[in-house]
Amino acid sequence: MKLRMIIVLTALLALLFANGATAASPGQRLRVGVTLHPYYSFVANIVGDLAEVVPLIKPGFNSHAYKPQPDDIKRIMDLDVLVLNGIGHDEFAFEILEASQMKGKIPLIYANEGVSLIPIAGTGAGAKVVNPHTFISITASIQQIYNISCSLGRLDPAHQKSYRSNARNYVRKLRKMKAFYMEKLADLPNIDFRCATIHGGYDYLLQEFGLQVTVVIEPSHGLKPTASQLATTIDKIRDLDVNVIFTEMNFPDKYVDTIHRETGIRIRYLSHLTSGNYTADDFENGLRANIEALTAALIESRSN
Amino acid sequence: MEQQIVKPLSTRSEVICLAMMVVVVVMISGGVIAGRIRPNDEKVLKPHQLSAFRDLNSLEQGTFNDLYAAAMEINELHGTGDEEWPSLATLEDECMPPFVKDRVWKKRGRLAWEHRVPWSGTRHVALYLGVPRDAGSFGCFFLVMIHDHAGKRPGTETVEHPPCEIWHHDDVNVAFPEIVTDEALMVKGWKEVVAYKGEEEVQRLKGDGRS
Repeated sequence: MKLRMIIVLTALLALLFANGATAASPGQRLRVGVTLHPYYSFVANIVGDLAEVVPLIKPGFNSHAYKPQPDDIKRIMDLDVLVLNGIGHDEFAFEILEASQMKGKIPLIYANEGVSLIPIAGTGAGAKVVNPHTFISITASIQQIYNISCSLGRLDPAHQKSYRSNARNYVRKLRKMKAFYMEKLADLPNIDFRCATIHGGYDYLLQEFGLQVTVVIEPSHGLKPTASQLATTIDKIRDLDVNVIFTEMNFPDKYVDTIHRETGIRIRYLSHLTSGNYTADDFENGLRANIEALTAALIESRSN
Repeated sequence: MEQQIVKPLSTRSEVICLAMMVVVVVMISGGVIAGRIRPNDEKVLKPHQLSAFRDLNSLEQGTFNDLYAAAMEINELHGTGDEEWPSLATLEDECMPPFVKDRVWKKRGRLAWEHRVPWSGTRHVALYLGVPRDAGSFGCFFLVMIHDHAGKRPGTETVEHPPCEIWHHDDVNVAFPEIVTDEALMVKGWKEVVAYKGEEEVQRLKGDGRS
């Protein structure tokens, strides 16, 4: 009887310790949840095979208008930590946290913690609005990669050195990619390049190429312009002698065709980097395509 | 024959009642909207500070953000190997903006960088001064990396984000600062540039309810 009691107590204690174990128990792979595609790539490159990266929502959804599904609630309960943007685009994560009653129970890594933010282009001096698209860039992404790597290292000290080393290598790779395209632009004369974008999503990317958006077409992110707003925008694009319109690759809008028909200005496509499958090289490939489009637009503007 | 005059029913009371209800609804709605408006309440800056978010022009803001990211990388390079601070040649070889001489570097005033590593007791300091060669709306940037070696005692070696400061000066003829205390830099006319960071924005959006 005494022996049976000891066995039962031991089993209970073992269960208790199993549940109370920290995310970084030796030999245990961390399950790192991510909200947006770029964060999948960032974390996958930081952790390599040392942890598992789990997208919080399935591919194929528009993060701007996502409503949590029952599966998401199940998924979040199995995570050790969640990496999120936190300043826009992944509000659904907070809804999932609330619905699953996991708020406060799972560590959150705010990728933008410590990142230097910039305003959305076109907002007046008195009312500058924060631009949350820090993941469509190299410089702001580098800051996020280091933030995520440091935070994961604190949660999983056994792999801290590997995370830091992987982060450094990944950052170096991204920087070299930018340098490759900068080299192509080296001999380009200093032109007054003017561009219009559908929304303020590309300000970080344009800033690191020394450029600034001349006209933003959507009155607010995700809000289509009315007929009269469109007419005003077309006049503005003509008056300001805009070289190119950058539109969204994955969410095409008919009013862009109208602007093109009315002005004849060339259209180039940029990606918001929040669609498609989740892969380690998704961010790199998407950003490369964006930089190629930007580089091509700059080279074309010289011949205009 | 008895005559009774029946006055037409007045709508006055209904109109007053409706108007009052409208006023109440508008007041409640206004209160709720006002309560939900979240202003960009950047932290209050000291007189010797500038906001990178609000006060710098686009080109200077780009230089600041590049330098801010570079500080993280300089720290990483310093933290590995023999703890040497990376030289300007190393930073250029690494294609690290704003040190690499590319198209953007030209557009942002061709900053000429100078690097010094003064030794000051327990604190290991590295200084990087960038002075624009081109005239225009560019000022000087001064990156101060402070690595507290006292924090590198066994068990406290995780100095992940050592303090770094970025200062700005409008005068392109400014001399390399010999003393790098806040007071000495302020006397020489330097302004410390402060980033508006993601953590402040999260705090603004989520308040204390962030998990």
